[in-house]
Amino acid sequence: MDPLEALLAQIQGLSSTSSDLNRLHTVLRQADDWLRSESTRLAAVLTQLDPSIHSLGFLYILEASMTGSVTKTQAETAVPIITRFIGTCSTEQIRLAPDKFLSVCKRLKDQVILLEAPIRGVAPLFTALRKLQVSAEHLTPLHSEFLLLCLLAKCYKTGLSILDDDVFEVEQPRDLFLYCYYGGMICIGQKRFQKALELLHNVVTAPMSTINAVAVEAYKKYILVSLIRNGQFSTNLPKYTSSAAQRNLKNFCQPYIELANSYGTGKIAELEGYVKTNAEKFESDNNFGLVKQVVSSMYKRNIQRLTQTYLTLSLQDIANIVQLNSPKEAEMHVLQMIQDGEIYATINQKDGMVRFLEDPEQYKTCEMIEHIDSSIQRIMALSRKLSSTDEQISCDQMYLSKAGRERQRYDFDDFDVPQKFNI
Amino acid sequence: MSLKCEATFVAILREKARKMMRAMELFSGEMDEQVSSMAMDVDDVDPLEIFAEGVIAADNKLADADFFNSFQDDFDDSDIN
Repeated sequence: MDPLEALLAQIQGLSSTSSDLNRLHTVLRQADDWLRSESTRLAAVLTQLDPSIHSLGFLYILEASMTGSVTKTQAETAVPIITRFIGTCSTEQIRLAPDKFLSVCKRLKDQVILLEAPIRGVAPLFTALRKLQVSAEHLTPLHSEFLLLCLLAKCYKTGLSILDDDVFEVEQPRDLFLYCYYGGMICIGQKRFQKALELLHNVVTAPMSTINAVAVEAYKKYILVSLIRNGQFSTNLPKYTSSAAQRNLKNFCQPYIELANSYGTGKIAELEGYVKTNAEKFESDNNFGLVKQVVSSMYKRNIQRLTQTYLTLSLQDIANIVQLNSPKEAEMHVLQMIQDGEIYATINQKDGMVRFLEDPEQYKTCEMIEHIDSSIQRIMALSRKLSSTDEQISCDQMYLSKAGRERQRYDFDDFDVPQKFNI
Repeated sequence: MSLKCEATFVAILREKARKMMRAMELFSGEMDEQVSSMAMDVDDVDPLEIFAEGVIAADNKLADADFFNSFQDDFDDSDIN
């Protein structure tokens, strides 16, 4: 009997109970190298398997059939097969071979990029990462691949859907770096600047023994988003930042730090001049759009400052003080800021006067109370999680063996106090 | 109590207090270290390097330099109508 047909029969016969699947898995592992050598014959085998019932066998054969580089024509055939498999496969079966599943999903990502249709991979990768996750706290390598496709396809809202999960389990540091960096970009695209800052901050302050390229790029965006969101930036990194990052990040991001210094002067002309001089640098980093948002934010910052001094002001006066070209431009800025909730004001178009108002939020609506309550609940859950993690680490053998060597402990009993002086 | 006994008693109390103060200084130094050790206070050595395996590479060599970052610059608001 043809060995491939024999294997097919075993897949069809051993895909029901968990003991059968364990036996099948052993057979498939042993046949893995041989399957790759038969890659040209495997497409026909796949048609005889049901991906929802024979998921494990289908996975091994699918993965073996995708060795080497593919042409666009081959990708056009493979993408629907992989998509259908991801959509219908059994979660329990694919979790028996997570590396194989990851490999297949990464091939899907590569092929949709080759076809210049990243959007075709967005939904399948979302399904795939949810199947691979053992819990919502588990960060898989597929998270960053999914976010990468969302960025390429400009599906920012779809990407946002996984960024609200709290991550506690990470497989590889690279997964976390990329998840937070791409996630930060997704949030920038959705103008969720505070969330973007948190994610980019995580990359910059993550443990690293050598300076990481992802952290360098994240720091550049972190500087820009800080200026946009907060109107300021400090080069001081938290104490828990790695020394590799503390020593090196600034060296790789000097033009951005100088941009922040220029922003700090509050002078539009100076800032615009600096941006113009260094435009090529920012463009080569694909950050010029964000830099332009930084410049716009200075106008907004200056308008916001006016609300602290004036109750009413004419659009002409606003234009003069903030150095805009015309009252019309001032009106556009003020309107946009009102719409974005950055100031509270009304514009009287009859006399060109802007009246600045107080924040109407009284913090006593039902919605606000619910929002505060849910924040409190979330913080309490996080606190419990941290206490439990701290206890686990305190009992971890590896941690104790290394940390114990670094610390000398002194106890009262260690002091040689003569008996006659003891209380 | 005679003057001599009183003096001896005071000397004993002073000696005890001195030893307790010395012990407290050492012990409270340990406590301060505990309070501040949440942050990485060591200047020269990255505390995580204590846990790291292997040799630390030169600072100018970037790890993960091959990561995908070729995205179109989509954050220019001026092209939004």
